[in-house]
Amino acid sequence: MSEQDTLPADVHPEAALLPWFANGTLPVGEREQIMRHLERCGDCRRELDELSQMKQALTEAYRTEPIPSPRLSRSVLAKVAEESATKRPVSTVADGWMDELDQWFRSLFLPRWVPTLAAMLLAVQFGLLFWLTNTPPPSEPVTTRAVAGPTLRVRVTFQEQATVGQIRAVLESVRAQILEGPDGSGSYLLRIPGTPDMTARALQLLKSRSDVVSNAEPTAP
Amino acid sequence: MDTTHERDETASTILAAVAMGDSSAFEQLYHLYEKRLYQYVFSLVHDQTVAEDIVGETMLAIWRGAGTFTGGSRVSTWIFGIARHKSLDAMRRCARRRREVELDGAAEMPTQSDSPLDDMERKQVETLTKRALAALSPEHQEVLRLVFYEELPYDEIAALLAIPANTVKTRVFYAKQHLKKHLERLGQKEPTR
Repeated sequence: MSEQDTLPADVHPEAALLPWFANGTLPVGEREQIMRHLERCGDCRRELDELSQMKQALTEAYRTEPIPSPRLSRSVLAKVAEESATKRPVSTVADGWMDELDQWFRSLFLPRWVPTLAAMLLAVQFGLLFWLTNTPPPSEPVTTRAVAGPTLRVRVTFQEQATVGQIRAVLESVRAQILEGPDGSGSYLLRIPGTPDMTARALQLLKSRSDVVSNAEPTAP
Repeated sequence: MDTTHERDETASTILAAVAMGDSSAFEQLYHLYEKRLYQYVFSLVHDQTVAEDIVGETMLAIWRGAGTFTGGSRVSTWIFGIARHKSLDAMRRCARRRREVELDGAAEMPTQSDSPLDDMERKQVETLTKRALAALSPEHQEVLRLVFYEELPYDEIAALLAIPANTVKTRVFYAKQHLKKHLERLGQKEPTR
């Protein structure tokens, strides 16, 4: 094919973009550039008119081209239905191990008693936490009494699999006091006494215990 | 009729469902693209059976590989890219047979005649346009289709055809010039047909 890679010298560079101005896919910057150019260029306005008419004629011509036989869709859709019934499509090679992990994880929930057991464990966890907050042991650093001096309030959610002992240990390590909770989403409001530096470190520590704490964010007093 | 841009947004959503293995979403996607994809492939291979085979293979490739679509381009560009790749493979395989196909074969293709009989002028323009298109080189036919029918941006056409964006722009410019010349020539030759 003998095609020039440049436009004729008497053609404005903007003319090369007019087909995409006509099909509405020019980026905003180029579109504005073309609009400014069209305001002062009669040649390009005529070129755009021709392109618009040509687009319409081509669209009509393409629209009436032959269509595939119904046999094609029947064959493809039947094949997909067959594959869909046997397995999910494999998206990528890299996804293979993810799919296997996903299948294994889902299989854990196949026995009917698993969700019930999970709900019971959750209820027991909340019960223990409730007991913990209402019966402080002697010389308990985690206390519901008010603490004088500067404090930080933190909204905390614990991991579902965390035990009472683990939660208690974490709270003790930062000298936290449970003010309220759990709320509807299972989170607790803590108060951590200390200077700003100390409370910042405490918050950092809470966040670092991701095996026990799923989320810890400071809240306004 | 919806625009290509609207169809592409719809297709992105549907393709995400297809990637999750939703066969009813695939059916939607299939009907969204089947006709245009077939016409595009037919314009490349000029053989109904081969075109149907390629569209079938392309559609199955989309079903099996929907998860590999990264969103780096329009869904249309991705789908047409797969079809184009398969068409070029098929054309290479059938090179000998393809040489026997006349360049203006497309002008003699049977068309779906569902337009009203009283719309003679439109029918005449359509016939002239098809004949003028058939006289263009395959490269010019292809870029005109991608710009004016598939409404793809120039950078996506460049990616699809694996050529620089500037080449796309100049190719479309000259394709339009040639089409205009052929239309004028045909119009003068057969003004009342």
